[in-house]
Amino acid sequence: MIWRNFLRDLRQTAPRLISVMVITMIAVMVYTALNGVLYHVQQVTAAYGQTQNVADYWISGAGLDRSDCRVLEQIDGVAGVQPRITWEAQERGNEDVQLLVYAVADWAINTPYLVGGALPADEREMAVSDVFAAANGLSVGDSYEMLLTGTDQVLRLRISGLVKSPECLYHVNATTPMPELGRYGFAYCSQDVLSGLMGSNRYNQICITTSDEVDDAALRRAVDERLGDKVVNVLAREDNLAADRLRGMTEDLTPILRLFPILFFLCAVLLMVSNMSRLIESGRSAIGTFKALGYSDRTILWYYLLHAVLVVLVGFPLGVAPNGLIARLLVETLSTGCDLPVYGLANDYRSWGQALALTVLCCVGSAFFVARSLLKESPAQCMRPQPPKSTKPVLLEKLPFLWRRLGFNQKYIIRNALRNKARMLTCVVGIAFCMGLVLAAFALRDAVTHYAGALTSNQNKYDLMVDLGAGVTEGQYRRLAASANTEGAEFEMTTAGWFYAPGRMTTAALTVAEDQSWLHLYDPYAQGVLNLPEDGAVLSQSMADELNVTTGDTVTVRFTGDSRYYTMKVSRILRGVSGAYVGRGFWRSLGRPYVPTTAYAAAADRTALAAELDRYDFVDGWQTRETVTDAAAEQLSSASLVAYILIVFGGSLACVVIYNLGIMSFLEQIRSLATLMVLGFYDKEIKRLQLSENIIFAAGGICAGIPMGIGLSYVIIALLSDMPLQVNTRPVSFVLSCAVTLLFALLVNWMIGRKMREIDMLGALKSVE
Amino acid sequence: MAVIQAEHLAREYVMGKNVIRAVDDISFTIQEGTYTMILGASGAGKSTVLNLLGGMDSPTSGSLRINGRDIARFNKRQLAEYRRNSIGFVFQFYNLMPNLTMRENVELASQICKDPLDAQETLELVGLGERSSNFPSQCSGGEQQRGAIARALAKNPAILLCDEPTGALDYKTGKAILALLYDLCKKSGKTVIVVTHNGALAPTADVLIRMKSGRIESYEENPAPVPVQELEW
Repeated sequence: MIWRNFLRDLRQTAPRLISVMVITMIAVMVYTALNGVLYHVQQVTAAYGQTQNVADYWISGAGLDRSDCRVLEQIDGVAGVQPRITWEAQERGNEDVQLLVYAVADWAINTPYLVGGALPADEREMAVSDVFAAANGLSVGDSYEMLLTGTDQVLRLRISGLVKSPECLYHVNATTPMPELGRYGFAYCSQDVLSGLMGSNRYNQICITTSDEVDDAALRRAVDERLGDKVVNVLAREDNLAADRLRGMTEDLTPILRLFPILFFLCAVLLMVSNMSRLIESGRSAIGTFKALGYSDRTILWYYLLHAVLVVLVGFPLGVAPNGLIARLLVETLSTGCDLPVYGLANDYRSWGQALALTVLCCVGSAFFVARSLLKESPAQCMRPQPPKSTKPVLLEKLPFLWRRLGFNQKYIIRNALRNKARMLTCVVGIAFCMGLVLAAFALRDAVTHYAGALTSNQNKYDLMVDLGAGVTEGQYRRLAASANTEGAEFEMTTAGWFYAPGRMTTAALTVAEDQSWLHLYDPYAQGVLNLPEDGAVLSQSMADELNVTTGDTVTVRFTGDSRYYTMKVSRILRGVSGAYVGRGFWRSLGRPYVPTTAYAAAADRTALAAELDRYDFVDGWQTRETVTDAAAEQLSSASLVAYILIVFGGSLACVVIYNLGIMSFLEQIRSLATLMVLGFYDKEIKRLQLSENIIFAAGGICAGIPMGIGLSYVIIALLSDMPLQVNTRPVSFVLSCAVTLLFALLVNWMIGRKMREIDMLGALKSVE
Repeated sequence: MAVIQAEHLAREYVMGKNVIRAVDDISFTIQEGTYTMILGASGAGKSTVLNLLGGMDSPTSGSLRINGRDIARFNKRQLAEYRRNSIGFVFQFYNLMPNLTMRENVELASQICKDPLDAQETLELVGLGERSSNFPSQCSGGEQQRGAIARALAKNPAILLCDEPTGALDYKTGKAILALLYDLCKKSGKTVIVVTHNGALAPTADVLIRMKSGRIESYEENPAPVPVQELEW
C-alpha cells in the first residue's frame, strides 16, 4: 500500500519533480554536448592523424637529399622520415585554379585518404583532392594539365585517385585565406614527376614522424646541428595551420566549452539540492506517520530516494538524447572549411558517466541526507509541525524614521526577502546569470554589426573592387586610375609569404597597400585617411600570436620563387586585419617588384566604369563594394553560431532558474497568500504583493547582470580570437537585454499569477503550518 | 434585528463520481449582537457553514442574506469586498503572517477596510499591548490566537467568525480566549459565531446550532448563558 501511496504522491509532487527533471536535463545536456564536442574533435583528429600517419614536423630547406634523411633517422625519437618536393602549380591556361603538388618518395607519412580510385602507381599518375576534382569536373581516369609556377614546365598526369589529406585539412595560401579547394587544391604524385626540377634525389622538404616522448626543443636543436644551413624552417604539427586547424580552433574554444558546462552544472546543482531537500522536507509528517505505522527506516528511505531516482531516470536520458544533434551542429560549425573524411560522432561516454555521477550525487545524495536526518527523529517529532524560524528585526528597522515611512507591502517584501536570504541570493544570481548571457548575446551581435558597419562606412569607400590580371603593367593600371569614369583609385598587391620568427613559422597573405589610403583601409575600425608605417609591417593579432611576436620585434619573410629572406619590423599589431600589410614605399625599399593584384575604384559613374572594366583585358573581374562586404560579414555570422548556441543554453537554464525560484517562493507562501485572501485582499493586491517581490529580485539580478554581461562579452570576443571583432555594445542593447530579462521574469510572474487562482483558501488554512 | 438569514442553504462537493452534500438544505437566522455557537462532530458541516458565512465559499443553492444582501449571488470580487469590510475570521491555527510583528499583522487587516479600529488599541483590548512589536514566532499559542482575534477585530467587522479557535490551545488558554470572545461580543455588540466540536461549551452560547450530517439537528436559544470561566470539561 505504501507504494500505491507513492504513486499518488507523485501527482502532488509532480510540478516540483518536473522542475528538477528539467534542470537535470539541461545540465546534463550542456555538460555532455559541450564536452562531447571536444572529445569528438580530439578523437577524430587523433584517429585521422594516426591512420594517415600525419607528420609531426615539416622540415623545409634547400638542397635536401637522401643522406639528410639518413641523418634525421638517427636522431633520438624520430620514427619515420619522408623526403619530398612541394611545388605550386596552376591549371594550364587558367591561373585562377591552383594546386599545391606533393611529389613524394613513398606513402608512409601523410598518407592520402583515398575517397576513390587508387594512389599513383607511376610517374604518369597523380591523386588529387576530391573536392578540387568535383569543383573542376574531374574524375578518376581523366588527364589534367598544369603549369608549374616559376617554370615553363607543363605536366600532364592521369588522375588515379581522389583523396583527402591529413596535412591539407585546412588548405589555404596567401590568396585564399579561407579554404577554397575548388580554386586552390592539392595533388600527390611520385617524386619522379618533379625530380627534373631539383635534380635526382634532391628535395625541398622532409617530413618526419616522432615518438610521443620526443622533446621539441631537443629535436629542433638536433635538426639544426645536423642539417645546418640547409634548413629554412622546422614546422611542428601544432604550428601547422593546414594540418592542425580544427584541433587548434577547438583548443581556442576549449575555455568556453569547458567553463560553461561547469557553470551550468554548478547552477543546476544548487537548484537540484535545494529542490530535492525541500521536496523531502515537505514529506516530514508522512515520514512520521510511516514510522508510527511501523514501516522500517529502510523502506521509508527508499520511498523518498525513489523520488530522486525518478528525477535521474527521466532527466538524464532526456539530457543525453539531443546530445548527438547538438554536438554534431557544433562540430560542423567548428569544422567549417576543414576537409575531413566523414566520421561518425564519437560519444564521450566519460562525460556521460561524470554527468550521471554528478546528477545521482546531487539528487539522490541530497534526498538521502534530508531523509536520513528526518528518520533520525522520533515519529512524534516528525508529525509535529516544524518549529518556526526565529525572526529578528531587519537592519532597516533600526532606522525608525525610514522604517515608519514604509508601507505594509514594502515591509512585507523586505522582511520576506531578508528572512530567506539564500532564496533571494539564488534568485538574484540566477537572474543576473540570465541577464549576463542575454547582454553578451546582444554585445556579440553588436560586435558583428559594428564590424559589418565598419566594413561599409569606414574600411571600404570604393565603389568597385577590381581583380587585376597577373601580367598587368604599370601603364594599364595607371590608365584605369586616370579614366574619366574613375574619381579615385587605390591599388593593392597581395602575395604569399612565409613568415619566420625564432622557432616559429607561418604562411600568410602579405598585402602591399598604398602608403596612404582612404578607399580601402587595412584597419576596418579606422576612419578617414589611414597611413601605413614607413618602417615595417602591420600584422594581424592571430598571426602575431602564431609567431609569438609583439610590436617592435622583427620577422623574416620569404616569398614564392625567391630564395632571399627579408627582415621586417613589426610596427603595429591589429586584430581586425587579415595577414600582414606593408606600404608601397616600404615594399619598394625591399627591392621587390610591385605588380598590383587588386584595384579599388571610386566611380564617377558606376555603370560606365563597370562597362569600361569589362572591356579591359587586364581586368579579370570586378565586384561591387556591397557584394564584398556582405560576404565578409556573412563569414562572421556563421562562425558566431557557437557563441549563440552557448548563450541559448545559458538563457534557457536561467529561465528555468527564474521559474523554479518563483514557483518555490509561491508554494512556500501559499498559506500567507490564502490568509490575505480571507482578510479580503483583492486578487490584484495579492498578486502585486507577491509579484513585486519577484520584480525586485529581477531588478537586483538585472543590476548585477550588467557588469557580468559586459565581462562575459569581453571574454567571448577575446576567445573568438580569429574574428576581427571589437566590443562595441550599443546602449539600446543594454535596454533590450534588460527588457528581455524582465520579460522572462514577467512571464514567470504571469504563470505564477495564473497559479494564484488555484489557491484553495480553505485547504491552505486548515492545515498546520 | 436579524443579521444573518440562511434559507434552504446547501453546499455540494463533487468528488469524482460522488456528490457529497456537506450542507444539506438548512435554514436559520442569527440576530445582531448574539454569541452563537455551531456545534457538531467532524464532518457535520459546521465549518462549511462558517466558510459560507465568511464568503470563502459559495452555496450550491439557497440564499444567505447578511444584513439584507444575499451573498450567495456575489461574484468573486464582491465576496472579497464582503470579506474585507464585513467579516473578521479567527482560525484554529492563527494564520498570522510570520514576517510581520503582531501590530503589523493587525495593521495588515485594518489598512484595507473602510472603518478600522486603531491597531494598538485593539491589541491592548485583547491584552497584547506589550507584545505589539513581537513577531508571531516570539509569542505563545494563546498570544498568537489573541493576535489573530485582534486582527479580526481591527477591521471593525459586523460579524466575527471563529473556526475552532481553541483547537490548538491548552485548556486554560482556550478558556481565556473564549471568555475574550464572549466579552467582545457583549461589549462591542458584534455578532460572534464560534464553530466547535466541544459539546461542553454549549451552555456558554446565546444561540446554539447543533449540526449533524450537513443538517441542523437543533436550534436552541439560551436566555441565560453560563460564563465560560464557570465551566469545567
